[in-house]
Amino acid sequence: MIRPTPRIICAAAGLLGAFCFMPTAFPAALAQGIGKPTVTLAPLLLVAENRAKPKSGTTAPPVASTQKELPPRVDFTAAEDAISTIPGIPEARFWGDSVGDFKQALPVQSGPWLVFSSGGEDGAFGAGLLVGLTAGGKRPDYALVTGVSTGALMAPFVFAGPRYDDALRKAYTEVSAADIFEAGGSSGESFANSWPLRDLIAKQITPELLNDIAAAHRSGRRLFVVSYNLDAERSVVWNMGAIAAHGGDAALNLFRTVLLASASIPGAFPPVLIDVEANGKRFAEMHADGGIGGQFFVAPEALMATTSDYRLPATDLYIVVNTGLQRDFQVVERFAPSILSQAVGGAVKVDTRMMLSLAYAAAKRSGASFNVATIPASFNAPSKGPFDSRYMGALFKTGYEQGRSATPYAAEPPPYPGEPPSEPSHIERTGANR
Amino acid sequence: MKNVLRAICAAALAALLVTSASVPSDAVAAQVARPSAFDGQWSVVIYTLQGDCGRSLRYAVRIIDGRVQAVDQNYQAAGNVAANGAIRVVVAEGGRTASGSGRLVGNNGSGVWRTSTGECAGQWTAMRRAAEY
Repeated sequence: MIRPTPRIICAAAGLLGAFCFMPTAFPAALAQGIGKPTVTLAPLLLVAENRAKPKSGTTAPPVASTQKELPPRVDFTAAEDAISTIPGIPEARFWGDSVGDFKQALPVQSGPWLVFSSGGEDGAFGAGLLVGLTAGGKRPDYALVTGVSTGALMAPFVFAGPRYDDALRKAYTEVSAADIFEAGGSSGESFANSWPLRDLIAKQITPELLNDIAAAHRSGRRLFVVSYNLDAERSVVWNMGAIAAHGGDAALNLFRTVLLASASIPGAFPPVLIDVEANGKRFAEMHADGGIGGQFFVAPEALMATTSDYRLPATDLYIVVNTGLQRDFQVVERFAPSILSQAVGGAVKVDTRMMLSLAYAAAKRSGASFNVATIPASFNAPSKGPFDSRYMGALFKTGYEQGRSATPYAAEPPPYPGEPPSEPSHIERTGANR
Repeated sequence: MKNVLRAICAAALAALLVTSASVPSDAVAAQVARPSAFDGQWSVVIYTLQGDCGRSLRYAVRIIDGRVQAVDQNYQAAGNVAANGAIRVVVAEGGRTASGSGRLVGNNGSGVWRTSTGECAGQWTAMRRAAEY
């Protein structure tokens, strides 16, 4: 089985992050007339050109280095990490490639599964879709909800039920870039600081929400969120319902931390250190965006392979793809950020399409219906920068209308794009195709 | 899109500028360093209310001895904050300028900004917060 390697994708994404938030671009842009091109590509990433050299005679004095040194990490072995658990909450997680643990953590009863993909600000589509499904009276109680990256951020609201629809709407239509990241002040681990997102998550993930998630978990339903353990190079599936059911401040903090980790694009945002223990030894694992291990999660790869005969214990498989899958033609500049960002954007689309093919095959052999919702190719609202609330509002509305329509999902993966248009497109690029 | 994001750069730059005073480098060097009531790390949010710029962006800047500095060495920022917190900014580079004005009060601040060409304008807010790593 050949798949695009997420590691390559995300390594490139990390490099992009380096350019995204490299503040040198700003005085350089001013020196060149604030006119050098910039592009947004992978979700959350703002690429800023940095070719101009500072002109002589600038008024700013040299800046003394004030960057603090990060504390050293506790060393640990692969064997220790392999058996590590969350202190006090051993049921909190399992390795994403562990077939046995996955089967053991599954919902008590078969039912519909809902899967949210990565996609950054384009998660507004998935949020709108689910609220639209509620409005259309077509939203079941999902036996399993999974989320990766932005999908992880919306999954708790969806899992807890339609009474959180308004909170979900606000989360994707009333935020701006300032609520997500702070440029400058990097710690050396990334080129932006994610404390605004951390604080936003803390406001949104309330004890009340956790109680409702815990109740759903006790009823046999399941909520999984995926992060990526950079140390082990393995995806980790977090049993968020089990964490919520554990209760207490430690569980609430872990729940929030996992969401932040799942959405922490390497290079752009700092990774998240999560305290664990193994054989009485305590150390911290480094976790980052769950999309590194795949754009969405249905089951361990061994079970999703076309060679597997595993039958998903699901009646229906619903997959919400929070990213545009259309080709995005542009004459790429001979400049590293432009080249990398175009490459990453294309690779994510290919990765998503191939994962959809695997999911389709898995659903068919399982006797489950296959349903996939994608951002329509016709969506063309302009995006004025990362996390543009108007753009996100338009995408939410598109998702809402699709969710409320008679056909919110397609029964097959979207067709692979055919021949490119004969005339180069000069239409302003939309966020959904980044 | 490129034009749009080009404007984001302008807005982002303005975020730095509104927290910087228009003090020539030699003047800065000549000043005697004195602790300021506004010393510390600040998080500045710029809001574009006019023009085709990014709607909002957040930046970190640091004030040491009343002088505004970039938080890391990847970019440059310079300027002073008056004892009463007033900020008026005119910064030029490469023949282009941007201006801003406002005031810091306690752990907060606010003001307005505008690019010299008038293509974008808006407001900014700031809050002092502990640096975290």
